[in-house]
Amino acid sequence: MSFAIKVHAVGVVLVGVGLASVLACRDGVLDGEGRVERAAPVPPVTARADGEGGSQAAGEGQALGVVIAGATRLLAEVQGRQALSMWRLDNGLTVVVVERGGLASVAYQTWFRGGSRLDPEGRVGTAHLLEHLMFREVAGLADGGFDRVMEAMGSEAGAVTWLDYTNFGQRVRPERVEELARIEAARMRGPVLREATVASERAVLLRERAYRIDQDPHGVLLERLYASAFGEHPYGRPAAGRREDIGQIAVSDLEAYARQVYHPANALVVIVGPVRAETLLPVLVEAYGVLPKGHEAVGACDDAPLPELPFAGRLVLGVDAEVMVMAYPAPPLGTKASLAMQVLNVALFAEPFGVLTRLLTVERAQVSEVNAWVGEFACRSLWEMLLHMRPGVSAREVRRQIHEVLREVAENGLDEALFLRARKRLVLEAATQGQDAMRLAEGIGQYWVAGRDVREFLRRREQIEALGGEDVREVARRYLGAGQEVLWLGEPAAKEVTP
Amino acid sequence: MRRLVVRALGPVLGVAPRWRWVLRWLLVGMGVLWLGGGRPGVSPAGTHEAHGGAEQVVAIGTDALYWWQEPSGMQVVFFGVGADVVSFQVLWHSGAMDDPPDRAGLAMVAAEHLVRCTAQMDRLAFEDRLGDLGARVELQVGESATLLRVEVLAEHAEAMLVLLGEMVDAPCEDEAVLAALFTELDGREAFRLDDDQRLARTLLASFAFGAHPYGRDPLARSESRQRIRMADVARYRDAHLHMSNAVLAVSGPVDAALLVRLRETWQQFRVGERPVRAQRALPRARGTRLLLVDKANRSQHQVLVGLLLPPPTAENGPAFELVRVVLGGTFSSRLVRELRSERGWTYMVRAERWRYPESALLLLQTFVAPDRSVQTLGQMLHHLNDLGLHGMREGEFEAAQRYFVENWWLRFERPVDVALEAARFLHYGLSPEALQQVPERVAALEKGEVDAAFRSLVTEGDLSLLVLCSAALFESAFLRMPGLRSLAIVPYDT
Repeated sequence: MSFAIKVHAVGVVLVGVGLASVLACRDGVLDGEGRVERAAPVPPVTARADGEGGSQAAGEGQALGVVIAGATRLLAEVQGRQALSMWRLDNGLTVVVVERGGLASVAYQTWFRGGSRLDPEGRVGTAHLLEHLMFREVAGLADGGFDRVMEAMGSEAGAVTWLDYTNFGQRVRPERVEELARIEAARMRGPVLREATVASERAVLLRERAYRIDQDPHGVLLERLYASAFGEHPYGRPAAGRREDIGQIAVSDLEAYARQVYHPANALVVIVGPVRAETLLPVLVEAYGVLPKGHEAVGACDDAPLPELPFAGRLVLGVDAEVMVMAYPAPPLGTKASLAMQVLNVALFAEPFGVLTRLLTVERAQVSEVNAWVGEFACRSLWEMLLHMRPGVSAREVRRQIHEVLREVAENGLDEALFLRARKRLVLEAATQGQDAMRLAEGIGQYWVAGRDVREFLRRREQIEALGGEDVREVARRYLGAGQEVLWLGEPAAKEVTP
Repeated sequence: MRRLVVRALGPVLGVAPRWRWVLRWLLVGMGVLWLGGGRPGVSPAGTHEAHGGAEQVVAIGTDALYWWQEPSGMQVVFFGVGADVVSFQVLWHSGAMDDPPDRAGLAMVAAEHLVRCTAQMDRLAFEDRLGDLGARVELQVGESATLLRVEVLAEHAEAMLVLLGEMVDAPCEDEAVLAALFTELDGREAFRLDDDQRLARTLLASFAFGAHPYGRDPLARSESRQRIRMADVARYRDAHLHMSNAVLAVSGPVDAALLVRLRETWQQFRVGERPVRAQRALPRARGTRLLLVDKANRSQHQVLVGLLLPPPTAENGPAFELVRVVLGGTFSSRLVRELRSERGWTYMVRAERWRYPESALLLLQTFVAPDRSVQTLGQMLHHLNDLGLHGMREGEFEAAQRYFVENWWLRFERPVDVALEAARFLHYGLSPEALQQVPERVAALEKGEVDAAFRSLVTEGDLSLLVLCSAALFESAFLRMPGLRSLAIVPYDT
C-alpha cells in the first residue's frame, strides 16, 4: 500500500519532493540509484484503420465507428504532436494507441479494472498476489520464462496493484512492440496456479508488506489512515494485503478473482510512443481477438458507506520524532475540482515556495520532512499529508497551524501571485509527464479505470491553465472543513495507544 | 506491486553463439529506430553558430548531442531536442571528498546555500522568483560531484538562465540563511535515521571506502556542520563551485540564440582554478569484513555487500556491468531467483554500480526477516565467490550481454536523461561518445574477459559486508561465518 501511495506522490504530483528529498544522496544517486520505477504499457495493433492508409489513422475529423475486422474505433483525435485512437475489440478489450514521435521508447501497459477493492473479505491481498503470479508460469512459459523473454528485449516488466486497478507494463524499443503484444495477449489468460508457486509468492508478499508497511513508519500510519478514512468501504483495505489474510489466500480465491477481473472486457491495453495505430491494430486483433470475452466489466465505483468523520488516532512507533499523517476528502480523479485541489496542494506544499512548507520547515523549523499529494482514486479520493516533526516538536501545534492556513484559504482563497506560481508549476509537471511514454500511458490508464474520457488526460495542461483562483477557493471551501479530517499520529515514546 | 530492481538474464532463449554479430547489428539499428524521425529541436546549424564550431558531436538516434569547452574551462553539453520543458544541469567536479577534515558537510552546506538566495535577492524573493518561473530545482551532493538541476517550461528558459547565472556567479552571503540551513539539515539527518535502507547504503559506502575521501558522508553530522562559518562557505564556493570546475548540460527546445547569449554571459563569470587534489590510495586486500549496524526491534534486516571496482575509465570497466546484471540486475539474476523466487526470503534485491572518477563500487542490497539474514549473507557470498572462481555460465553471460545492450537506450527516456549521462561521462573523465561506445563495448566483450576481470577482484580479497540489525542478538551467528577477517559493531545513530 505504502508503495503505491509513494509512487503516486512522487510520480504524479511531485510536491514536496523538490530539494529536500533528493539531498543527501551519494554519488550512486548521481548514477540514478534511488529512483522509483514502475513498469507500464501495452502495444497497439494495426490495421488499415479507415481505408485511407494515411499516417494519421486517428486523425481529427475522421469518422468514428470505423470498423476493421475484429475491432471498432471509438475515438480518434489529434492533439498537437500526438494522435490518439481508441478501439474496442469484438471480445470487449479496449485499446488506446497514442502515436507520438519524439519519444525514445514505446510504453505498453495492460490495465485491469478492479484492484484491491475487489479482494474478498478475509482474503485481502488477493489482487496483489495474483499480480505477482503473473510473472511466474504464464503465457505458455515455464516459471521464470516470462522474465527471461522480457529481458531479452531489454525490458523491465513491472506491475502495480492499487485500490482500483492492477497495471502491468513495459518499456520497449518500437520494433519490439508486436512481439510484446503477442506475449501479453497470451499472458492475459492468467497464470498457471500451482500450490508450490503460490506458497513461494505468498512469502514474497509478506516480505513486501514488511518492507512497505510494517518496517516503515509512514506505511504503518498510512494504512491506519486509509482504514479510518474509508471504514468498511473497500478503499479502507491495504492493497499490499493484510498480514493475517495473505497466508489464507487459496488457489481457488485466485482463480475466482482472475475470472472476475482478468478478461478482455475488463481490460485496457495502452500503447504510447513512436508507433502507428494502423500498423498495430491488426497485430492486436490477431493476438487478443482469440481470447474469450469472459464476464461483464467491473464497475468503476463501490457504493459502500463511509465512516463518520473527523477521526484522530495515535500509536507508538519506533521513530525518533513524531510523525503525522492527515487527510481530507478530495474530488475524484479527472475532474476540474481534482485539478484545482492539485493546484492548492502545490501552493501549500511545493518546494520552495509552498506556504506550509516554508512556514513549517524554514520559518518555524518544526518539521524536518513534509510531503503531500492528492490521491487519484476513481470515486472517492483523499488529499494526504505526511509530516515528520523535528525532535521535541509537538504535532498538535503543527496541526493547528495547518488548520489556520486551510481556514484562510477556504475563506479568502489563495493570494493571486501564489496561485499563479502553483498553477505554473503544475503545468510544468504535466509537461514533464508528457515527455515520458510510461507516464503518459499511466495517466491514460488511470482515467480509463475511473471511467473518464481518456482524451481529457491529454488536455490536462490546457485545463490547468484554464483554472482560476475561485476554483481553488471553491474546492477548499467544499472539502477542507475541520469535520472531514482524518489524522494518525506516530509517537516515539511509549504512551497509551488510542483510539 | 513489483518494483524493478536490477537486471539479469537467462539461458532459456537459446541465444546463438553468433549472437554477438546480431548485437552489433542491433546497435546500428537502434540508432535509426530509436527516435523514429527525431525529436523536435534546434537545428545543428544553429548550434554550431552558438559555440563557434568547436563542438564535438555524437549521434543519439537521429538526433545529435554536442559538447564543447568554453574558454573558462567549463564544458557544455547540449541536447537540443524535446518539447515544452528545458533543463539546465550544472555538475561540479567536487563534493564531500573536498570537505576539510574539521568541516565535514561543507560541500553540502555550500551547495545548499547556493540555492537559497542570491546577492540581489533574499531568500523569500529568490524562492518567489523560482515560483514565478514555475521552476523545479533539485540538488544532489555526492562524494565526488555536485549536481544542480533546474527545469522550466520553454517560455521561461531565458529568464531561468539569467537567474541560474545569478545563483552560480553572484551568490548571497547570508548568515541567517546559513543558520536556517543548519536547522534544515539537522532535520534531514534525523529523518534519515528512520530510513533503514538509505542509512545502510550510506554506511556501506563509508565502510567500503574507509579513509578514502569517497567514504565521506555528504550530509555529515550536525556537530561538524555547526562548525561551518559563512567564510568557509565562501572559500569552498570560490575553490569549487565555479566555471572551470563545471559541466553545464542543456537539454530541451533551446534555440541557438539563447545559446549564444548564454555563452556571452557566462564567459564573464568567475573562472577559478580547477581543484588539485592529492592522490589518495584506495583500500586494498583487507579481507572480508563485516559491520553490524545496531538498531533494535527490526522486523527486517538490511543486508549489503560492497566490492570496490576499477574506475569507469578502466579498460575492463564495462565487464562489471555484466557482473552486476548476472548477480542481481534483473528478475532472472542469480540472487533474485534464489532469494526471492525460489526461497521467498526477500521482496527485492538491488545490484548497482556506483561510479566515481577514480573508482567504482559494486553494491548488492537486500532485506530479509531477521532469522534469514545470516543465511542470506551466506548466499550472497556464495554467488560472488562462485562467479569469481568459476565464471559465468555461457547462457547467463549471453543473456546478460543481450539485456544490457537492448536496455541501454531505454534508460534515457527524456532528453534530460541523455544530457545528464553525457555530463556524468565527462565527470568520470570519459567523452560523451561513451553513450554510444558503452553498449558497443559490452556487445564486443568475450565471456573470458569478464570472468578474468571479476576473478582478479574476488581473489584479491576485499569485501565489505554490512547488516543493519539488532546486533546483540545476531553477533554470535555472524561470527560463525567462515572466512570473516573482522567484525565490528556500531550504533546506527553515531
